[in-house]
Amino acid sequence: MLSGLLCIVAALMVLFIGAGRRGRDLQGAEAPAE
Amino acid sequence: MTTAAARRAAGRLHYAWIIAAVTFVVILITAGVRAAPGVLIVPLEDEFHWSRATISLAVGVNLLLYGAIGPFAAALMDRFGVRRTMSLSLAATAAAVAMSPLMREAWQLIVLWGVVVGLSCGVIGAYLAAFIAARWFQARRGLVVGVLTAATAAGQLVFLPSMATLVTHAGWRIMSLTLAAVLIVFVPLLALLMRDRPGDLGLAPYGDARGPQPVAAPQGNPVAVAFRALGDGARSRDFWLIAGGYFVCGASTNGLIGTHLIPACVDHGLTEVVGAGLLAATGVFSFIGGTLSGWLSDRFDNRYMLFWYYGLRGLSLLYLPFAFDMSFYGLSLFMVFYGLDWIAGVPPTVRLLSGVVGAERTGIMVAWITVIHQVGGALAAYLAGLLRISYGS
Repeated sequence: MLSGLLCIVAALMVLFIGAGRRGRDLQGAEAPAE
Repeated sequence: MTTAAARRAAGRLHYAWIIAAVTFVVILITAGVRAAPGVLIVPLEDEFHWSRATISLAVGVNLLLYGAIGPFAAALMDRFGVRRTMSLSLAATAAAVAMSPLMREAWQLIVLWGVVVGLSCGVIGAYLAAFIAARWFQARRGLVVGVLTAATAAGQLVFLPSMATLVTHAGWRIMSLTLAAVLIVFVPLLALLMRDRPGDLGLAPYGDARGPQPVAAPQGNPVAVAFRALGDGARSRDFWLIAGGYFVCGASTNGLIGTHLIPACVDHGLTEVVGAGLLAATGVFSFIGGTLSGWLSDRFDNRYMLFWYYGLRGLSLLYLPFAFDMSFYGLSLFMVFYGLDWIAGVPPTVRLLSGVVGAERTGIMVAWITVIHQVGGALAAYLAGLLRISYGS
């Protein structure tokens, strides 16, 4: 039960990665393959 | 093989795919070696009358060194080259496994399987998928991370039953020698096909339209390089958000379910065999989930992917106490979902981290967050045991 709640907190936490920056910037723009 | 020959051999296929294939086999075989102590425990107990505690000490040393060497191994690869470091590590693993049949004393088990196998497998450790993907792939990076991470599950699925059969029918010495032979055969192939960087072949990473970029090989002590990378990363808030999620990931997979599912099954009236079967089934589903997640991570926002993975994992853990009361099928449903989610978080985590620290430092930083993942696992394993004693469930 406790670990379930911890996972939900982690799920919410990761949404703040790169807050203030665009999400796609974080992942690096990818050139098309080949 | 010369550069030109390597290019010809690769033909139209980008050499990055050959590197990925070679790495896949290395991770597969290494996973087999890491699973070997599980099938060695009983025959070693029977022959030498070593206690379970002594054999567990060797396994503990192995696990500790495997996890701890990661960041320094990634720095070592940067400094001395991927081909040289991987070939030497695989050769050292092969030597330790090949020498196992000569063991007579318990300390030899600790040295060979604890220290040598722990360190040498740790050099080809959990960070390798991210290291290779970041260095060789610009496009399809998530897919490569997913498949290479899933190679560990595949290795256990391939090697564990084969090794158990060999131990039963031919003995543990033949099993060790067979495993060593597989490793020894692959060392020259690895040395022949592996390359340090795409630039060594005059290539850019797969999908990088900019063409080959000059990369300055890092200089200096690999230990200092690893700590400097951590120091730089630790100043970023995004690094801690990613590492925090990965800590919970380790706690909820290896720590909680990996360690405590079988005893929890026994507590609820199921047999150990049923619990072990459920846990083994997660291996199959984690291979599917890891690969699929890698493919998806190249296409969708990785933060939302992680949100869904961790969120659904949380909900399934809230469902788990009820699943135990819903017969074997309720628990099977839980394990199918948990298996799919088990390593699915790795590709989006690696891609996000790569965006924060840059492709060149991805390997070292993934190794560092893997340490954090393992600490989460260890803490959860301990705390869950403590709560079980205190509250009886």
